[in-house]
Amino acid sequence: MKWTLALFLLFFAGLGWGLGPQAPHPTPLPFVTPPGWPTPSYNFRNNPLTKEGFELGRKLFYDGILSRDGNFPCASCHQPFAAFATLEHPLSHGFDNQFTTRNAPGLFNLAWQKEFHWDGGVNHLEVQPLTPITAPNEMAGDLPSIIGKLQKDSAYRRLFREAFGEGPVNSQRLLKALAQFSVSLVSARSKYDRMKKGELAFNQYEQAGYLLFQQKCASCHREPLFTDLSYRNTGMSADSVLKDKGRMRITGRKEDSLKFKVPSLRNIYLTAPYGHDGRFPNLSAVLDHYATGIVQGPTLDSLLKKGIALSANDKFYLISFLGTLTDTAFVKDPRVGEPGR
Amino acid sequence: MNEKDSLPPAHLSAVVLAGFRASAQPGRVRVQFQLTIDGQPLQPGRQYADPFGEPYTVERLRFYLGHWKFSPGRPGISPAPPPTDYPADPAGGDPSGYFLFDSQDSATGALTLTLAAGRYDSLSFLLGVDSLHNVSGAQTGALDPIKGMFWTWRTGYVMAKLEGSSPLSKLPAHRFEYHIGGFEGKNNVLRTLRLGLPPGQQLEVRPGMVSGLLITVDCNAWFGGTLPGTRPIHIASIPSCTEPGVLARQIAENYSTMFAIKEILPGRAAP
Repeated sequence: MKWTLALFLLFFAGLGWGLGPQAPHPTPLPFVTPPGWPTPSYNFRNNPLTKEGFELGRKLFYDGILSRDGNFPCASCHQPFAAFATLEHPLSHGFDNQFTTRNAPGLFNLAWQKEFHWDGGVNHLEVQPLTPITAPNEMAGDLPSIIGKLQKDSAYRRLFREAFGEGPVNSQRLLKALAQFSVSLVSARSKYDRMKKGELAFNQYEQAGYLLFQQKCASCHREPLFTDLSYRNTGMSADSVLKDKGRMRITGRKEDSLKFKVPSLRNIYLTAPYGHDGRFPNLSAVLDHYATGIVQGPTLDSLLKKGIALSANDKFYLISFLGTLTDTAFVKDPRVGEPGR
Repeated sequence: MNEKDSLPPAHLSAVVLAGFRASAQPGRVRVQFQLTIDGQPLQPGRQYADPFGEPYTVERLRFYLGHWKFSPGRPGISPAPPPTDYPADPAGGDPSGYFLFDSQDSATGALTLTLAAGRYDSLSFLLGVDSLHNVSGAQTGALDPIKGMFWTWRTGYVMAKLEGSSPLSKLPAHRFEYHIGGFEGKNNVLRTLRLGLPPGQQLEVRPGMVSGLLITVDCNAWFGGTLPGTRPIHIASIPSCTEPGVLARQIAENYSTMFAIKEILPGRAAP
């Protein structure tokens, strides 16, 4: 009797499975905040993570369909092996042999960011992709034709339905899917993180570098995100071609001239070159800048008026420490890599 | 002290409210927009003159409206429902609650609102998209960024835009473009506008009926200079405004004077 009932239930469970595509019930995907980290800024209530939504976002992220000529998926400038920055490019390359105007940032721990871009001009993760998608020197697309292409694609129609239910393929669903993927890029499995958990110890160089870091760098590159998400002028003169005034373009305030967002130092070994315009080819160049290259100016950060005194050994120790922020488990995680690879 | 007097006030108001709700069957009103210049309906492609005599041609006018409220007529004459927020309901309900007027899309020439039956003598609405919808991520319906009213370099909606050409513009192809936005701080361009019906007239909203209202939209208001508080905008010297700031706020002050209720249109039976 019990067996009959069990078989009966199994039969209907099987039916329900078979009905999946017609009546989609996306599978919830938990978002795990690493222990000791702040509460995410992203509001998951308006876009609950699901396996289907995440996988759709992942497919879109790696698909040239979002660019005008098909050559520039998000991943063309945000490469997983470079912690989702562009490997060895001061400025990335976009449609029709054009350069971008700023260095592509690595994409990780976006759930804790309230503002995006070097100047913080974008106020929500979901609308960020609109900038590269429509910028004529990046993906050079236009929204109506991208939505049109997705609507004509039967595979995408099915994936959108599985992720978001019945209803049209529209920009809101596109952006929410991309956000489900990008918000899930959490980097918290580096040697530093494992040291913090007591799973392993730093060697003496890393430890010396960590102490120096805490004294000289951590007020802006605050743990555990390794950024305080503020905007600061770090004494870099404006490039004569780009003439980039940074945050001032957004706020219109003179006080914000030449200020840029403090970037995270996580995965920094993977994201060279450095600086908002990629002017520093390697970490030595960055540290040399802080030690002796600061350009004085009215909006220079008060912490940098005298530069940061660093001996040759200090630089060596700091660079040793920064290596502990490389999260190989994250960049090689097949769940965030290109689908089907 | 009799039993009636001992009723607690909350109880009393509940009875009153229940009675009121029972009588307040909703009706509908169709608000139709008509572009004008100097009081005459705008003819597409025709050259007009701004208040300073500068010749110009309108190519496109777009604006967002939301948060509609209708205020009742004088007490005693009609049931007096309180002013309420009525979401725009063009084509059977926009998920965003907003209405986008587009001079190049005749389907956006009117919107229909569902509201409590009664008599009304004024209305108000928000010109623009409230700050919450500018900071809450991907939106849809009238607020879909596909509508071309969304800034990507600095998140936020273009609340209103006027584009056209004038031989006096120094920009390529003699174009002029005013894209007006900014939802925070001192250069916030959001404006709540209140329009009165013509003196002595009331808009009657009845169950089963669609009442009609014609609102004129004067393109010349964008250039200001004729009403107090407005700033003259000469196409020859200012052919563009494409970012939030002082200029955008001043143009918003100008275009906030562009609406007027022209007349109550004949009602018809609801479909």
